[in-house]
Amino acid sequence: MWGDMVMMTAQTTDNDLALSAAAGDRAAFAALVRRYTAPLLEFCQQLLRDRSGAEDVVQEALLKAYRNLPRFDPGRRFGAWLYKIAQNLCFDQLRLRRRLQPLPEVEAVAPPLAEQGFGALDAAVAQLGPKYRAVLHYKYALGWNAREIAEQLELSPSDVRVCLHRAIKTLRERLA
Amino acid sequence: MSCPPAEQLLDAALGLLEADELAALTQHLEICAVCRAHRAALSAEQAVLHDFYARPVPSEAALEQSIIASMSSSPHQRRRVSPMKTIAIAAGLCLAVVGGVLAYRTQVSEEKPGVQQAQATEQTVPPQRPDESWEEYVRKNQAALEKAGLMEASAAEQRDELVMLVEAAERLKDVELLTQAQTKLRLVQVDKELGEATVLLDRMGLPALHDEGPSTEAYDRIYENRFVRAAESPLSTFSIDVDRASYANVRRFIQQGQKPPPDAVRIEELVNAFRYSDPSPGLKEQHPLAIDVQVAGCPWQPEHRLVRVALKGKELPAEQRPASNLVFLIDVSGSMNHQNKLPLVQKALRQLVYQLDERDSIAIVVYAGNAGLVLPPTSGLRQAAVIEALDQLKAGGSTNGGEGIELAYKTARENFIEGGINRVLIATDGDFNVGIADRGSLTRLIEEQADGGIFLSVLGFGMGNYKDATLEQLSNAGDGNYAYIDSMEEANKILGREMLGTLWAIARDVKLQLEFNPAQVNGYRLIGYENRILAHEDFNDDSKDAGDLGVGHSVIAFYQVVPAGVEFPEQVDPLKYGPAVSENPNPSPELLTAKLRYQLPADDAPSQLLEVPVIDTLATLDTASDDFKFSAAVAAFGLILRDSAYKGGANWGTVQELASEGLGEDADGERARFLVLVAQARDLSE
Repeated sequence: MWGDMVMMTAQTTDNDLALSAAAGDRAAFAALVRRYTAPLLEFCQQLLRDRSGAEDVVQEALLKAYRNLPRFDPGRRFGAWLYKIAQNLCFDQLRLRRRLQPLPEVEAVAPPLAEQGFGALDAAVAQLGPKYRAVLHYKYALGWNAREIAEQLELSPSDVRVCLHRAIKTLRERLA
Repeated sequence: MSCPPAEQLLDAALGLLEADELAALTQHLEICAVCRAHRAALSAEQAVLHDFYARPVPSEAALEQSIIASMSSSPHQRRRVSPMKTIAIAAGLCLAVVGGVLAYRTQVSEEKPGVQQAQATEQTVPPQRPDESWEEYVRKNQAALEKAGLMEASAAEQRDELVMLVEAAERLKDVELLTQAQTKLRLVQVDKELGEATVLLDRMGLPALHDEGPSTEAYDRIYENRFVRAAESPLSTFSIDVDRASYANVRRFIQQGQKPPPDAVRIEELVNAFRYSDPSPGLKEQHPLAIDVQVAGCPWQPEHRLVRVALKGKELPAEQRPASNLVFLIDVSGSMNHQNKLPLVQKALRQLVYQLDERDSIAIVVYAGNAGLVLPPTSGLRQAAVIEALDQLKAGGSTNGGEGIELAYKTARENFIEGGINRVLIATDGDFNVGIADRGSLTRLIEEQADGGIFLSVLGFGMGNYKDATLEQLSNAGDGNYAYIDSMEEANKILGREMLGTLWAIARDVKLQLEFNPAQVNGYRLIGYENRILAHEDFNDDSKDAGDLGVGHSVIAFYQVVPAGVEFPEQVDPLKYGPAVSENPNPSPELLTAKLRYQLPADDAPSQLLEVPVIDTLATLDTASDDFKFSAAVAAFGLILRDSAYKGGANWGTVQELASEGLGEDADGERARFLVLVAQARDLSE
């Protein structure tokens, strides 16, 4: 509906789009939504292990980002900012859920993952704590370095290192 | 050279090594086959993780579309609207403009472009948004919409609402939403009756768009009671109303520098918001409530008399209070994430928790994206546990309902205390979406549960108390009460000092019927209680519900009486055939008889009757009690705020003078605060 209003190329950076969006260009934000919805959903599913909860969070995160665009610091990466919003919403959700009864069950392995031979790994990842899952996602899905991950999660880089080591050790044990 | 620790090899695989460390390790790997093999295994491991996380992500076009569609005009004004709310607003807007469905919208005439805009949506032809920026569109249409009475440019909040409306109308392009909105619309058109339509409008959550002027959608229109000739209709019958939400709401408007919309001013709720020292029945008294009637000069109409009917519930020692089984149903959706919403709910409920003890049990259910039992029924003795659970609540997530209210009732049912106080307390900002979409089933559920002994209290929080009428009606369905909490002060009052009294009903289905003596009374008018009027025959019909009275509670009702021989204030032609009843040769000196019926809360015994004949001693206002003066001042305040046709000579001076004279002991300082409020209201209007 909005995408035709502005010509956009794949090279337009996220930050350019975010700045246009902050200036009131809805089409620019729509483009960001298209870029980020699917990967963000993957991320939130990893953290929440619940498809519909993840959809809610993605929607809320993007709308929250949209509302807060005027406060977006162009010196930061838009992606990191957006993931941080989503990450915090997920953590809030998880904290809330811990108070809820009955606890939502960890979602069963999705068949496509099992078909790809990832079933066991997916189940093992699911049993890690949310912070570990976030670290792994930032590292492997997004390819961020330890400093970037540390900043995102408000940890020290050495905490991130410890997280990675522990996560991998746990995964090895579970998959052994 | 010894082999490096395994951690260092993993660090290398993870890319965490500094350049010098990496160089040293590379050197070592060249000479050490064991470490090389180890390193290779780690790399393979990393590759699996990379593959796992880098697997293709399916496209999420539908979700993208829904997110894009829910973005509003500009980042600065974005306010989140859940799809249901959007439909509701869209449908509500359509409804509001379906020509003449609602009497109070009739002044929005059709030559106003903003309305035509909205009407277009009703005909399923969505408005075409020209090729201009969103802001441009809103700006251009702003004037037109303002003219149509749909918006107040001054208030950013209302502009926000308008943008939502425009967007909602536009969104009808979405086939699914369109279908749903049309279904709702059809539903509305089936029930064209004015009353029904008003109820539906509330259900759809059409927000108040303008807070001034005679038509605010979210408050039920109050048609003030008129003067009635005693000779033609000597009986006046109504149900008591113990709510006082209107006072807190009116106070909020005034403190924010706005005039409250007239329909938000329910005079009986203003008057009943204060404590009075009317005589209460002694502990040994047969009836749990007392009725007292005083008559004095009417402050705003000197030739009239003002009759003050006061009911007072028996004061009982706290140890006699029955055990209570309370379930808090708390809205933790994103919209509650505001200083005067969830944090205030937490602090407010704490006040109630402090008063509970080992007889009681509290459970907490929250609803937002999911509904859940946050705290299973817990003894009132374990206050710390309850408060901890309350404090942990955080707002977030969409309000797509869940089974909140059902879960709350289920919890209350499982923990039912025979002969105790069994009650669900909902704390919400009025975005009352508890998982049951249509209001009919919701009301039914609440009524069924009330029949089964579980009652409902509604605590409204936050700004923009848009669903005022809805919340009040829901709490009425559940034989409950409705309070609006805007500040910690109000929370202390409602939940701290008075809640248990409110919950602890000592009389139910309390009805009042006054019979005026035509020999002494030309006419009379009941002030307030417009939505509590009962048919005269309902008075003796125990199957007809009415309000409950709590321990130590007061309920005040005022009648303005035109004495015999004083001109009747409304223009009515004289009766052609004379009065219905022949003149009584021996007229009674009594002014009126006040009759009261009530039932005891916990049994089905037939209602009991109390009767008080009243003679007017022609007392002047000066000699009236403090309570009479103060409550009359509050009534006059209400008449002025409503700009009532019956305010007579009432002015701010009258209110201030009367209230100061009637200040009395004012143990809780509420009366003094009222005087401050009156001064603020006076400043606003001058």
